[in-house]
Amino acid sequence: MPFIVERSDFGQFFTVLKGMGYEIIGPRVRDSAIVYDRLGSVDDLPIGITDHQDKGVYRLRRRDDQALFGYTVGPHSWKMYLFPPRMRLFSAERRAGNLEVVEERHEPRRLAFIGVRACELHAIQIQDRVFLHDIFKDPVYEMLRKDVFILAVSCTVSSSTCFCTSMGTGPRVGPGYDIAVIEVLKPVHHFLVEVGSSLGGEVLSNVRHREATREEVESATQLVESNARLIGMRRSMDTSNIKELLYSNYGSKHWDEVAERCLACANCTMVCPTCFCSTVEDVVDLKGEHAERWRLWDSCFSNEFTYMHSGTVRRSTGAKYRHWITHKLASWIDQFGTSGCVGCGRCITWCPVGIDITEEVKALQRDGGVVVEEEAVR
Amino acid sequence: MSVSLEESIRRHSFFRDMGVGDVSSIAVHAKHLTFDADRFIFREGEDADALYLITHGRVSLELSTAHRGRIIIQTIEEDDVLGISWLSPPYKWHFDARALTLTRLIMIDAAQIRKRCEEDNAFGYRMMSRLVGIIMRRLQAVRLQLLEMEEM
Amino acid sequence: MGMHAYGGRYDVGVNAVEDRVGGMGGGVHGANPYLPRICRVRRVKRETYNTFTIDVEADGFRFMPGQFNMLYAFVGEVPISISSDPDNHEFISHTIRSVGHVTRALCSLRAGDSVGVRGPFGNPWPIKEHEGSDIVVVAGGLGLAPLRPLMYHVLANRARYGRVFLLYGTKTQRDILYRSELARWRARFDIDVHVTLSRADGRWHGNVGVVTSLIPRVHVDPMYASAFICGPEVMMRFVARELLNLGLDANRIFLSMERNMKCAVGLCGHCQFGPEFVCKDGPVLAYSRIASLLNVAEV
Repeated sequence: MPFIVERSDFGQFFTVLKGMGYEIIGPRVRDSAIVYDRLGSVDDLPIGITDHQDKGVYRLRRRDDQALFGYTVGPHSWKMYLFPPRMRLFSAERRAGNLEVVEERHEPRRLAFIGVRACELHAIQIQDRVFLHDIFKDPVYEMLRKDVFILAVSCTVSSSTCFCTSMGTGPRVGPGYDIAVIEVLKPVHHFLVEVGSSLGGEVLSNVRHREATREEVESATQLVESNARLIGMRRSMDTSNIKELLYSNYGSKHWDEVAERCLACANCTMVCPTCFCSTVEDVVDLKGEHAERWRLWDSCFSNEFTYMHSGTVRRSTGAKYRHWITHKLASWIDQFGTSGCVGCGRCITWCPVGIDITEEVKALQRDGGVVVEEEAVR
Repeated sequence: MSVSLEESIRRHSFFRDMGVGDVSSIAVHAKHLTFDADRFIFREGEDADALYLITHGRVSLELSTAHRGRIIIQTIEEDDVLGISWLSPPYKWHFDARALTLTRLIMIDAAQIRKRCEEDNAFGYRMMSRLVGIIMRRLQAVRLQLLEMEEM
Repeated sequence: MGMHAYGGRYDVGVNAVEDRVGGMGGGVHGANPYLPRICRVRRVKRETYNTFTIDVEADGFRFMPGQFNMLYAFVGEVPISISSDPDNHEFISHTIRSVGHVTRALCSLRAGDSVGVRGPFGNPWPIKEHEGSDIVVVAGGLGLAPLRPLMYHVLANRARYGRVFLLYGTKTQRDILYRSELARWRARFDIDVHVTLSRADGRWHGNVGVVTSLIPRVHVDPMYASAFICGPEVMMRFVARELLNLGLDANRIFLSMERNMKCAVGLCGHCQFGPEFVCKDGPVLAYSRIASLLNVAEV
């Protein structure tokens, strides 16, 4: 049963959550971009701001209204709070051949994520699958994830880079949230609110709200649905047989062609909300008595990524890109039972040369098909 | 005597499944040889005048070098063939062949084999297919050896 | 055969690995898998001019043949396969070639020193599943190390297996690992051991040639033979191909793969080989499962 929270009361979510001991993380403008950072109040949101995104393009613009969520996703994603870019795993002491390892004690944080988009909620759930539901659990992720409160937002605006409808991840928020909202600007600025958990219900009970009318539900839903139609018309990826498509194209010439454009800069992996690769760095003090092991985000585009004493496996940019896209769209399915792509479009926006994952898939569907047929004839 | 020689040739994997006529025409140009361990069967640069079928023992193909002494390139065993340099000019051995253990061989006159191949092309084809098989195997091994040198 | 043979296998195997993650007396399952356990070095033995075997006190540690540990030597951590007898409950061995700064630090350890150990990790050789079969073991270079526990297991349960062949190829005389053991095994009448060198001088009276040249000596019933191979990737490909020619089933040929491993628990992404995480789906993988990827450059 959906509810209505007026714009003037929306700030109460912040005060209620803070009162419950949550640290509030959400979108705000910094360094000419909308990033995820600590928020003091509702006024810290990018009010009346939108983003213009295209291949290799990201610009903030002013809107002619006071929307709180009138933009899409920026360079940050929530993974930076659940899978920190840099963290110490343990420290060690050495005295006369004796080693002692000291486990890292992590301060528990109660984080409330405000403004999680549908695609991002899927991304969080994909990383849950990677870090929590496989043979081994990541203890850091588990600790950070445990107490997260999610206030999700169904998108009524989209960027040209969005393709969530193809990936089945949006723009309407799916299960997994505590509170989900649709922002309605006219005629009166308000939010259609749905409760997804008992915790969400508890929070909403302390925020002024009323039951939504059928018309209010319909008109809010309509905004999301027309956005969905727009997204589908603007950008799409045909995901039928996508695993087979990529697995059968290891030998495609297309990778050489991508390599001519790709700079192997790793931007796509850094902005991707599901990319989970990391490396470790061992730091030893000058006396050789104290050492620390740090975990850092890593990228399959780096040369060291596949280094072995007998040689580096993926040296060419073509092989690196092939690995990234094949992992994201194909082997991820075998590994975790889900695609690694949520259609958020970040890799398209933040690629300095505008490489577009949806176009690369189309190219494989076009050229890849030819290669397969030739082989069949032979 | 010549019957048992012919039978030994027929039992060797190289001639197995070859026609009776083929084998007996070869057998007349063949003889048994025995080498004690460490004796040279042939030396690099000598005339390559025979095909050897190893019936017992192990033979090394090696190279004598100034700095590194004797380097063994490959060892060949019982039921394998030794010596293919007689196949093409200048018909000289490329390596030394030395018996590593007591080794028994059947030596077949290479000039006679070449002559028969010339006269009877069908026989020649059968011989060549077998020899190419051996060459292919050794080529593959050398390729792997080259790759392994870097990795192992 | 297309790569789609991998389809829908993500659920499979999760139960199968329950057994193999419990090594650290109590197990790494559920505990912090990033934290090394401190173990005491019992002995460091020089195997060759650049290779050492480090024995650490087992202290309740259990593993299966083919599994590996992450050894932490203060300056860093490296994956090392376990090379001791799985039934030896006193110590566990790691044979290490001193080639980088971490392995050098490991090889300079002395008895009584401590070392960090995480493990055991990885999919083991399915040797128990192949009881009743003829066994072909093919090792190249240091690849003999992860096969040694398998040899111990087979020899300790000799009656449960058919014919047993061990083919070992290495570079030169001075690279031969586990000499005394090889000699002992060669002296047994119930196993065929063949050693070949890539290069030898006149003092060597054994085989010279690549390890594939030993395959014609393998006399097994191909219908009931299983092969376990470890060595450089190219060598494993050649060996697998020769074994297929002998008539062995691709599902019964197992390779131990090597890739860059950092976390060893399938979370850091480094060791991916197609859809496989070499650290948790491997290192031991059936040839049939990876054959098509082995032929692709830079996977």
